[in-house]
Amino acid sequence: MNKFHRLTVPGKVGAYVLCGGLAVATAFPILWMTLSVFKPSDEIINQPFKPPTSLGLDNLRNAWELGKFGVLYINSVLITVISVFGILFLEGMAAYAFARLRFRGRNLIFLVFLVGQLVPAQMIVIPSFIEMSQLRLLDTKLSLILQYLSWAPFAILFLRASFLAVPREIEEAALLDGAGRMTILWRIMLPLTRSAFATVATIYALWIWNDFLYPLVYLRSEGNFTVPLGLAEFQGLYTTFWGYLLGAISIAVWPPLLVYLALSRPIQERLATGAIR
Amino acid sequence: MASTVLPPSAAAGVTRIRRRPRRLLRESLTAYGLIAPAAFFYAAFQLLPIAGAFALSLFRWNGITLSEAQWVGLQNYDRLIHDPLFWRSLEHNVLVAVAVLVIQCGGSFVVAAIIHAGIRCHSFLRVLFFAPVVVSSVAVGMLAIFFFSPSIGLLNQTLGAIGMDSLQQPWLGSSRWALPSVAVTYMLQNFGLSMLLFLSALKQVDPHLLEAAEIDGASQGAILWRIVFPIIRPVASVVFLLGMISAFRLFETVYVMTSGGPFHASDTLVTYLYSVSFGGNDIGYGNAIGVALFLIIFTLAVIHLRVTRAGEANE
Repeated sequence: MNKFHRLTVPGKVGAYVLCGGLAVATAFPILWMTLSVFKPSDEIINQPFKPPTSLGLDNLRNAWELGKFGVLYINSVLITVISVFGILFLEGMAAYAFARLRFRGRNLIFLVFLVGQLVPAQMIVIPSFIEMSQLRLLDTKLSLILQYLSWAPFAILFLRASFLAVPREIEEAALLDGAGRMTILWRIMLPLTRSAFATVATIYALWIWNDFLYPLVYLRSEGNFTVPLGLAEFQGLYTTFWGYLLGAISIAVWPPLLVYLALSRPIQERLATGAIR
Repeated sequence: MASTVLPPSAAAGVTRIRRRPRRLLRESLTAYGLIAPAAFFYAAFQLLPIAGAFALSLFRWNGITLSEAQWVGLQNYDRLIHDPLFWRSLEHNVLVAVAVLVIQCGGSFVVAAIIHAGIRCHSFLRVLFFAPVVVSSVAVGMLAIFFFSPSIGLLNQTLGAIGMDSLQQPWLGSSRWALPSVAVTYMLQNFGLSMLLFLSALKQVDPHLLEAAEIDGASQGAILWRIVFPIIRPVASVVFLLGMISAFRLFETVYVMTSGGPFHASDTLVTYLYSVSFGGNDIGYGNAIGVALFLIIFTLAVIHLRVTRAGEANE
């Protein structure tokens, strides 16, 4: 299967230069951060290419404590997990109805759900902020969860397509046996479309975990902050504390990166199928 | 279900007439019940704010008490058309979008083809290039400051160390280089996503087709451009459109690296919207910018939907 050796010599050189350059541009910042975080601030700035002489954990420890990253991680995990499961549940039911049931206004309602796919979150962030303030929900984790639960269009589109791919005969037998729609959805459809649900969960987890705009606009008190917002606030407070900043970035970057490195195959496959559909 | 007890011959005619509307009604009720929870959240936190964005763009309001909102009709849009800062922000988005199309999307197609062909370490490169996509843009932007900072940046230190002082720039502090620095960071982070989409498309291409072309003596470059690219064109248009749409939504990277500065030199539509609404408390005008952003993205997204639907029809 290897076609690379059939390239001409200049082609090969070009390919190595391009991929090599890009590999350096991608890997170097991560490696540099990971090594430099163990050095004191003045060394990070004055001798940026000198490897660390000892494993100084001060930057990581101070960033963890000053940035309250323990709280940030608990908040982010809580908000992401609740929102993702909520979305799978809500959008799974709705997608099933759109895929399998006949009802008045089906196309119209589906079209209304599609509209959301065309609207940038950045456009509705101000009115959403005002709505949350009217509901007296500003500066709560609940406000974010409610917002994320409304991110329906992509999940509905994607899950509906996967339900449509399941042959009708499978559930018709169960229907004749008198099974209810919820039973069919839960016992028959869900196991058959598990990979579609996993895809939706992966994509939404990434979106919600890395979302910055809504936390920035909704949250005020440190105790509610998510990881990206806490990180940005940390930057504002410790602008020139270069060691602490590197510590904070490392704390925010490495855990998700390790999850990705452990699961890179399935994550890449899911994101690829999700984005094309 | 009771009717099934009757002998089929006797009941068939009657039940068909009676059962159908009732079954349809029951099915409808089930459907509404299944959709209602999703529809509730969607209506409350998507549809209502969408309507709100259009409505608020017709008012002048400082965002504090609703009763102080003052109806101004299309005045905010009139101001928008004559606002040089709006056009400048839009221009920055367009520049980034063009760079994304040419460098990120074009480059990722070439890199995807090289990785697909099986360059040494191709699995490693595949994992590496995609890694920045899963990291938060805030973290990536903050890390980029260490490279582009005028005072402590690694870029300037490296250029100084290798005797190329003349190329040193204040990067993030310069009105000329702030936007390119942000754009490079942004593209480096999103490169992996475009590459991944091209890679999964390349896997679908029938290898026999390429072998035939090789036997006919076509060069690898010609095969890539003349045979492979036309086959994966539906995916390519998705990659291009997604790239453009996200370039117009550019926010986090700018917010963290330059907050739109120096002197609006790297402002985008969304950072401008944000500073007008939350810095200047000008909610009505902020929403007018939001509606303009919506019109741009809506147009691109409609094209995107058309293309993907057309792609599905061809399959």
